[in-house]
Amino acid sequence: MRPSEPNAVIEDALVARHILQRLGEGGQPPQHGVRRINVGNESYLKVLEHEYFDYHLRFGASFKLVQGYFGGGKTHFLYCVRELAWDRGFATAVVELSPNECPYDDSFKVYQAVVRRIGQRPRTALGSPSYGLPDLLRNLMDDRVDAALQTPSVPDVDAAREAVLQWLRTTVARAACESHSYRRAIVEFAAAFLEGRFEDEQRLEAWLTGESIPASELRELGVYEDIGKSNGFIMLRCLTQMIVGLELPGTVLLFDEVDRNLSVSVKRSQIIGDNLRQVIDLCGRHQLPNTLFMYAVPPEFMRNVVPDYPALYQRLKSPVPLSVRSPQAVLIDLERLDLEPAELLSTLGDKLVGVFESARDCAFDRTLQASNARALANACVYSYFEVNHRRLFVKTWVDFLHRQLVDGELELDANAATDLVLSGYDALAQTPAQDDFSDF
Amino acid sequence: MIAEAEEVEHPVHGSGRLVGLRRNGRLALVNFETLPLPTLVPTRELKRPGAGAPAASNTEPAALATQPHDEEHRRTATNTLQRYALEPTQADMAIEAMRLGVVPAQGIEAFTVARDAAFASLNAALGEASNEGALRVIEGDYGAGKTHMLEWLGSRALSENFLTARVTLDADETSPAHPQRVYRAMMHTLRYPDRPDEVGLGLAPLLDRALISDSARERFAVGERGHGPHLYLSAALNWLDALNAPALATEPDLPSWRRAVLDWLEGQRTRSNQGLNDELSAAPGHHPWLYSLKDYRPWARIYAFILSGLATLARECGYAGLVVMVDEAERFALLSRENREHAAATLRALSSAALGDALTPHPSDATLELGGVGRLRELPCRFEPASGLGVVMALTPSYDDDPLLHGLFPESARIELKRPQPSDYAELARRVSAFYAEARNGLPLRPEQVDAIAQTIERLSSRGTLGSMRQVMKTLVELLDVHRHFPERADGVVDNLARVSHFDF
Repeated sequence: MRPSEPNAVIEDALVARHILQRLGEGGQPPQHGVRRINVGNESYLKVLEHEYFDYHLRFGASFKLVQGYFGGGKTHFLYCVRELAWDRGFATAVVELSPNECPYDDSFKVYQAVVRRIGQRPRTALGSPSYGLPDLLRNLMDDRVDAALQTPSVPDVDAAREAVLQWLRTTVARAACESHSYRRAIVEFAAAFLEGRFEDEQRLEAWLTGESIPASELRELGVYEDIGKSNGFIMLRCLTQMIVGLELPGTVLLFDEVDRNLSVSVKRSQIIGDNLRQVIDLCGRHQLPNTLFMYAVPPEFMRNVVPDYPALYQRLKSPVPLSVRSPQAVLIDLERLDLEPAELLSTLGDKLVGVFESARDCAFDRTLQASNARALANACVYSYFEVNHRRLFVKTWVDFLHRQLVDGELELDANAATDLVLSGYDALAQTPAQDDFSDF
Repeated sequence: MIAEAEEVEHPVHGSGRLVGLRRNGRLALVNFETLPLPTLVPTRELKRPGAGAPAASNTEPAALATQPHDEEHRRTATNTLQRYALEPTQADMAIEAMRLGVVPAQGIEAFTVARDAAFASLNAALGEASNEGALRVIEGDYGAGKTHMLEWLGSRALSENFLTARVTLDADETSPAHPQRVYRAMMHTLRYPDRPDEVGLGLAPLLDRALISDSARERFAVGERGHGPHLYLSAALNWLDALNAPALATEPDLPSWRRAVLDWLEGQRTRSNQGLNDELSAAPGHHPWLYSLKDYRPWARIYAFILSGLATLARECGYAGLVVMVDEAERFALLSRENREHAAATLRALSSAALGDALTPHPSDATLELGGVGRLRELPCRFEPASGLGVVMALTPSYDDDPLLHGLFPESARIELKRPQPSDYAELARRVSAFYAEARNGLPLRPEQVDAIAQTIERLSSRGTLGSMRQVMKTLVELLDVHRHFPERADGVVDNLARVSHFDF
């Protein structure tokens, strides 16, 4: 990249390199620019975009259960939804659920994970992520001060801060919120940040993020409630209420169930089922304002967990055959995509060529590479029958593009493609254990 | 009617542009030219530039997209909607709720079919509640329509001049074993017949009204020394009355004192009652002690006593009373044995608050006598002479698994939801189709398509494939979604579904 190039071109190349690095190293979906390589789930995304983001989420709430095998694209899909939400200014959190660190039956841990992960689109491509409720609030206050400074009647920064403080006390402090303590904490945290009251800001940050802090330290600030297991979901609701109170468009909460075996005790799975039923009811009653709640699970969840709870089963079960399931149905089934497996992979291969060209500032023979992608796609589908072949394909294909950059373009026949797939399979098998849940 | 981005005038702030409406249109967020940031003002204070009258606060329903090939069907759909006065966004929210298998809070009357017997009992309950009190327990299997009935009752009670409060029980946040959490949720969901669309108002409107009502002041001994007839309500009213004194009008702590009293009575997490009394002691005069309201499991009796008092207070203020609705879904199974006992005691305390001595004894009554010291030990479940309290619960009882439930409620209070007839579901299908069309401003469904859907639903329910109201509603919306997204395949789907369904397996 040359320094004289416009920023947009440089950013485009940086995002492209990030995509290649994520795919090439372990076949993982990229954190940025995921829609540049998105294939096969557009019908779902289109409905989410036009029916929900552009319409329903402006006044209501919804819940979607995303179902897919490991390697079936759940995380990738959640990232695509996150980008849709980011484009529209929604506060968004992708939360990985796991039995030990963040089990869905512990509402307090879920709340903590959400406030740690919530954020808006990074200001620049690959800019350092600004996750967490405290930073979200600080950024919002800074933006408000900047906006106030653009007003002719505001002469300086002090006057702008005063205007924002007035807005906090007269407008945000009146937002409809179930917990008065929560609303007060948000308002006081923002005010402390604007006024430079560092200690108050720190104490309220600790409380908002669910850290243990003596109640006596917050009483003078009007916060009398503790956040704990008995009110984790109330506080999650309050968070969505205050996001709207702060005049953001809404909240998108994306939960990724990363446990492969879902072997939880009967008692815990009962609580998980009941917590989900509660969330569905809250969305149905639109008590999570302007909120999309999405929960990604493996098919075993629908087969083994849900049927044990009639109240949940009835809410998720559909009478209509999967083959004609409406894209607005509660269940989004990633096993039923817009394209057949081989066509999906070869289309993905074509997109990756474009990304590779941006990243490496090179040009391929597109016709030849389309043929190569098709050959590799067929080899993947025929020699590896699990859905995880997507991950195998992207890793192998990115490696092959790198090889061609060094050795010159090659034509891939069926046998060579099969050999590539087998060597790619061996490479994938050596990926670290913590990548087990990585999902493309 | 004002709309987003429209220019408006305010008597103090001058010209501005409407950003959006809040609190059901009662407050308007406006970008005023004189202020650097958008500000909330009462909508009634806004006018259009040059207009003499304030702008209306409700948004105008979107114009109907007429389908020239189907005027008659459009008219039918429109008539259905006009009858229930639902706007497109409200209709869309109702449809999304059904898609999720949840009872819509919008247009509930339009979705109610085949419930005449239950309606008769609930209507009778409203009549009883406004006098000596009433108890009803709606029982039915999952998806039978219990929550639907509570939604209906809530609308009905508001139209009959009752205050309503509603709580959905869960294992933690509103566990029936923790009566304070249940009570707090009720206070948060309190709705008023004169402000039916507003939620989160809490007790402030009722208490403010009580302070200007001679009969309420007399009944609760406001302005008199001592604890008054109701240990909690009399104290709260006396405090709020004292804080209204002209001498305190300029007191900077006044809003915080007032809020503290309200938070205490609403069961909000706030200062300890000791701290509260210490802080309020700065106010001039002698005032009653505020007793504690804690999250103790054996205190169901105390919270029932307050609810009973609130119902009486509502009557004294000119309302018909208070209807409390408790919605239970798979709760008892999630509770420990000990918590099940406390949960049964909570339900029992609510029943006792509603019926008083008319309730026959039950082993759970022993749990009600635990808890509290001093005066608090003497409080009954019911504030006498009682009036105005209706308690309605929706349960999926498992009498075999939970012996505690045996005899907990009198037989006369039980309403068992019977399964509607297939023809009722067909009628429901026609109504939902009309709402669906309105929700998205005109899904062009031909009358024969609506009939085919209705007949399919009727057939599926006749053969037992669709066994509950929830399944019917979900199936309906799914079929309509298919018409919307895959119009070319929809008729085939309906036809296939009439023969076989996933629910059959």
